[in-house]
Amino acid sequence: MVAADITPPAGAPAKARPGLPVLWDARATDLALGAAAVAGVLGLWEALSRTGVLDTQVFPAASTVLVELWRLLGTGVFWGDLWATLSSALTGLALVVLIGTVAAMLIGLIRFVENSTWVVVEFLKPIPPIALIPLGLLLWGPSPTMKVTLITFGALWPFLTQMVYGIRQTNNVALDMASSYRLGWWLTTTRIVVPTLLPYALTGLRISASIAVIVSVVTELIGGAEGIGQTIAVAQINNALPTMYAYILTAGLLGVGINLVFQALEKPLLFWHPSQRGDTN
Amino acid sequence: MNTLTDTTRTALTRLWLPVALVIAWWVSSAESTSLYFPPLATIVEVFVRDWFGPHFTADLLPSLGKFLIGFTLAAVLGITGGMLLGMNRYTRAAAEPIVLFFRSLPGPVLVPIGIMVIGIGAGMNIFIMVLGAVWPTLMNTIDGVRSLDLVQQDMSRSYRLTLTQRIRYVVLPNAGPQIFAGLRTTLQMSIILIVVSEMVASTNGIGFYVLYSQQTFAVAETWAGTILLGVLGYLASLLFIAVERRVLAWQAGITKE
Repeated sequence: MVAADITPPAGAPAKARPGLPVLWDARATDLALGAAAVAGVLGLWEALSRTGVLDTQVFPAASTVLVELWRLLGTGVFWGDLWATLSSALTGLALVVLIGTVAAMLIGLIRFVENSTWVVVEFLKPIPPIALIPLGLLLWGPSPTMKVTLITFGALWPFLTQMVYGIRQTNNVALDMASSYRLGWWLTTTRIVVPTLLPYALTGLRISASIAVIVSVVTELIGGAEGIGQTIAVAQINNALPTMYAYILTAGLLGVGINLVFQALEKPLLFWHPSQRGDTN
Repeated sequence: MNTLTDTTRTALTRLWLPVALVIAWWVSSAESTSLYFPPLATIVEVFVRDWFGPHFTADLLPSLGKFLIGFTLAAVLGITGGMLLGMNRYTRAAAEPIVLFFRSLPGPVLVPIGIMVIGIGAGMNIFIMVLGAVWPTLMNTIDGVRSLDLVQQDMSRSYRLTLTQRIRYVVLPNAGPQIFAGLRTTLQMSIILIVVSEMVASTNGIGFYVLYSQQTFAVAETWAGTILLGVLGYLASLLFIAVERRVLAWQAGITKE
C-alpha cells in the first residue's frame, strides 16, 4: 500500500500504432505535451499578472520570479540555504537507515520484539512530525539538532515498515535451499537476503526522503532554523515577493530532484526486478 | 484452549512495553523540577483541564471542523480531477510534470502565499489544506485510471457502457486501491497542513494553542497539546483504515483467492 502511494507503476509502455509512421515515439510526445503544459501555465501566469488580473503585490509576474531565481543561482546565500536544508535531510535520512535497519531486523526476526513494540510503533507512526516542532524548539532551540531529530522521527516509519515487510518476504524455501546447498553466510546474504530486501528498502527510502525534505523545510519555516524555509518566511515578512516565489519554486524542484535521484538509483540496482522491466503492464 | 492462551499471551507481550514506558515516564518525571520536562502528572492535569474544558470548544472543535471540510474538498477534487485527467492519454501526459511538481512541493511553503491572498483565518487554513494536500490523491487517481486493463477497456466499449456506467462499474473499482493509497497520504498531509497553518496564521485551533504555549513557555501546555495531536493523528489513521477495509472489502475477497 505504502509503496503504491508514491511509486507510479513504471510508465505504460508505448503502444505501437499500426499505420502511423514512427517519427515520434509516444514517450517523446508525452514529454513534449508535458513541456508545453508547463510553458502554458507559466505563460498564463505571466499574462494574468501583466494584465493586472492577478495582483502583482501578491503574484509578481512569472518572468520576474524566474529572473530572480536566475540571479539567486549566482549567489552564495542561495546555495548556503539549499545546503542547510539538504544536509539536515540527508543526515536525518542516514540515521533513518541506521536505526531502521537494526530495528527492522529485530522486529522482523524476533517474534517477541515484534509483539512488544507493536503498540508503540503503531501509535508513533501516524503522529505528524510537525506537531513535535514546538516541543523540539523548547528542547533544542532553532538548531540543526532540532531539525535532524524531527526529520529522523518523521521519516523513520516508511523505511521501517518497508524493511520489516521485506524481511518477512524473504523466502524460507530459498533460505532452506541455501543451507542444504551449504552456500555459507556470504553467499546467502548477497544472493538471497539482499536481493529480496533491496526493492523494499529503496521504496521505503524514497518515501522517507521526500518526508525528510518536507520536515526539513517546515522546521525552518516555523522554527526559524537556517535554510530554504526560513528564507521564505523572512522574504514574506520583508515583502520581497520575487525572492519568496523563487525559493518556493526551489523547494518544489528540490523535491522533484530527490524523487528523480532515487528513481535513477533503482534502475541500475534493480534492473532484474519485474517493476523495472519494460514488459510489465 | 491452546489458541486462547496464545491470544492472551500475544496481548500481554503487546501491552507490557507501552505500559512500562508510561510508568517509567510517570515515575522518572514525578519529582522533576526541570523547566522542559514537567512531571507527567502535571501534564495530565493540564490536559484534562484544557481539553476537557474551555479549549475543547475554543480550539479542538474549530480544528476538527476545518480539517473535515479541507480533507473532504481535497479528496473530492483529487478524485474527480484525477478521473478527468486520467481518462485521456494526452491530458494525462500534459498534467504529469505539473502534478509531480506540486506533489513534491512541501505543502507548508504555500502558507505565506495563503496569508497574503486570504489573510488570517479559517478560510485560509482550509485553502492551504486543499492546495497542499490534493496532489497525492490526484496523482494516484490518474495512475489508477491509467492502469485499467486494455481488455476491460475494450469490453466496456463493446458492451456500449455509458460514461457514467463505465466510471461507476469499471474505472472506479479498478482504481480504488490506488485512490485509497493516495487518500491516505492526503490525510497525513491535511493533518500536517492544518497544524502548520494554524501555527502561523490562526487565532484558534490546536496548532495555535501548541505554538503559542511554546512561545510563552507554558511547557506543560505544549506537552499536553502535542499529546493531543498525537492521539488525534492516531485516531484519524484508525478511522481511515476502517473505512478503507469497508470500501475495498470486495477487493480483499478477490485477492485472497
